Amino acid sequence: MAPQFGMRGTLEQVPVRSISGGLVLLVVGWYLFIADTAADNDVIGGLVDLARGIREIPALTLDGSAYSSFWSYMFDSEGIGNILANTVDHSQLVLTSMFWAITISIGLGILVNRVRAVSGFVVGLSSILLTIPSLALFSIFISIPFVGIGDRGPIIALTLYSILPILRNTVTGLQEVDAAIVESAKGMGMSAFQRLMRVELPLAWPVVLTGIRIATLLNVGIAAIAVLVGGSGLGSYINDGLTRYPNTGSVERMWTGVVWTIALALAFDLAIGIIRKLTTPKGLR
Amino acid sequence: MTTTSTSTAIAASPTTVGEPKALISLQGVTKTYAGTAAPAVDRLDLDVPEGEILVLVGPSGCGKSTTLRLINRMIEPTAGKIIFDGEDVTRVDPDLLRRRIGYVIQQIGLFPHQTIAQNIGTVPRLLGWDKQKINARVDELLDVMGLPKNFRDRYPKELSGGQAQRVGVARALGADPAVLLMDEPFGAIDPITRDRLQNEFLRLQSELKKTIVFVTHDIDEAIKMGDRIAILGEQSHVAQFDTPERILAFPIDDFVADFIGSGSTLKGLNFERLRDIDLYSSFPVVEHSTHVDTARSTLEASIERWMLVLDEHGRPSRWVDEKCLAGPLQSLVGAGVEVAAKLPLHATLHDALEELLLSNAGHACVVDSDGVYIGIVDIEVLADVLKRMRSQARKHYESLESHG
Repeated sequence: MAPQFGMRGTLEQVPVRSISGGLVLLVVGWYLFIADTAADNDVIGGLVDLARGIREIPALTLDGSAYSSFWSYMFDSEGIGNILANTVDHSQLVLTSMFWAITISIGLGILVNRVRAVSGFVVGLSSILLTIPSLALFSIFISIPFVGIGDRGPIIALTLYSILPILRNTVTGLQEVDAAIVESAKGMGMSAFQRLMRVELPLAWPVVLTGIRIATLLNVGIAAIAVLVGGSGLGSYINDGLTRYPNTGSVERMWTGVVWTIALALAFDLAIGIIRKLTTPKGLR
Repeated sequence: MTTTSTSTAIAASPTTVGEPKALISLQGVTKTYAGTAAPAVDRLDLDVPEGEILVLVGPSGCGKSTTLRLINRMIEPTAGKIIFDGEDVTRVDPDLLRRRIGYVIQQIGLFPHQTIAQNIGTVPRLLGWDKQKINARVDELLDVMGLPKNFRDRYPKELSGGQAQRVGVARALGADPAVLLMDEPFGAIDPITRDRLQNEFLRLQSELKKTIVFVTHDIDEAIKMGDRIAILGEQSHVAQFDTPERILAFPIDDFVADFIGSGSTLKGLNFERLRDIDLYSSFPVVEHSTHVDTARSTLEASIERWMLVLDEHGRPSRWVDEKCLAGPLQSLVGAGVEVAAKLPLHATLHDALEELLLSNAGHACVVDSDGVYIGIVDIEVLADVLKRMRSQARKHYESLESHG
């Protein structure tokens, strides 16, 4: 179930199942790829190697000597401490940019939601942001003073990317609140601010949260590119592996980055799922 | 049949007393929407009598909903004044005004993310009542609306349409406002439930005595619910403002006559009760112990074809006609046809009409609470009453004209 970016619809929730399904496919693909190169296009040999790989039998690297399996490579060579440090850096990028994106998007969404023409314009503008190639957007900030090389550029870029899904869902969520409910709230003497805080935002919240969820997943993936402009995070494994390819361990290094990035996305997805459970009012479930 | 009589019992009672003072007055209120030349509501003067249900009724698009929403300033008037309890509220903070006025809409608009208790406590919370007071008020309102206590912690999605509208009314009554505005509150509910809600609401109103403005497009609902009815034409011009009885008896012009439609005479019969009219008292009646010959001569002396036989307690028991008496009859006991239906004094003329259409003698007998015979209703009695109602209404309007 792909997220839908149509102008009016809400962004569908990406189920955890499809992400874990993707993870399994990637791992299987990786085994096939390694098996294929090792056995020199021998499909049957490749399948045999695949089976061995799954059972963690040695001889999976290019020269067939260095490590007994991908998993032992990952933990022995990179070291779990190092991986976790990069995961924390990666998470920091994501969390900081998500904080700004959520603040800006919900604030902007509330401001523009009353006037359809304005909200259409703002949502359109944020769609254009999403079409800028990520490498380009990351690179643009290097030349800007006070941003330069490091985590700041990526944080700005990631914030900009995350605005669209959250903003669109905030606007849609607020506009979809039943007009009769807002009418009765007004008729009982709730001020505009009370209506917003006590009625409109709570009712729009599940839709807003779905936007946040999608933005977070996009964000975790795109954050891996931050390393190219001097940022930190799990992208460094991918970048290193790519630079050193086809040296020994380069592919494993790339996959370390990929697997941990996916795992991190899954963890965020789960966390948001729990937040959703905890924050959705019982009457809306 | 029973529902009609319970509703009219309440609807008919306060109309005979003098004019109550107006709690809300609209004075020359006009609403013109930007971009339209003709105003949606044009220089409307309307007094809402205290403690009564005023029904605004009219064809679609006449501006009755707009008029209602002008009162709590959900729509701001372009010109004119709104007076609430002697105070000009045209310029006060509308949020504060609305907290003093209950508001019920057709779509109800309960807050789906809040429990029933939270929904009902909305206005008290806005007014800053303490928790205990709110809780007590919620319990009281659940009880008043006939909703079980365990509804407190339920959510709106768990309610049926009828229950939801009861909660909607309870929520509007939250802070015990003097005024209730209701915009087609029972419009989206199935006919059976609507009838029940209407009756419940009328019973409730007979105790609460709120000042209510009630909008509907359904003239029958207007007649049933209204102590007074304002029939609105285009741009909310008041075509006729009066009690339902007088509007039915004397539609002031063709517009009103068309709007109330055919059957207005029949509807008018709901507003008169047998205890208030002159019954047909010279109908031939005999005790069941009377000799058959005496009975024969009594019937011959009268212009009627049937006579009524009473039992030893004076209760109607049989109808007899000439044919029954012609045979070799020893006693009146068991002769003729049994009296099937007896009308109590509080029955309406509508009930009486139904009975006498069903009876084979063309008459219906009226009894007191012990079942003792009081008199007879026939079609002429009803015709006389209708004539009287119509002439009274006409005289009322003639005197209004000569005074103003």
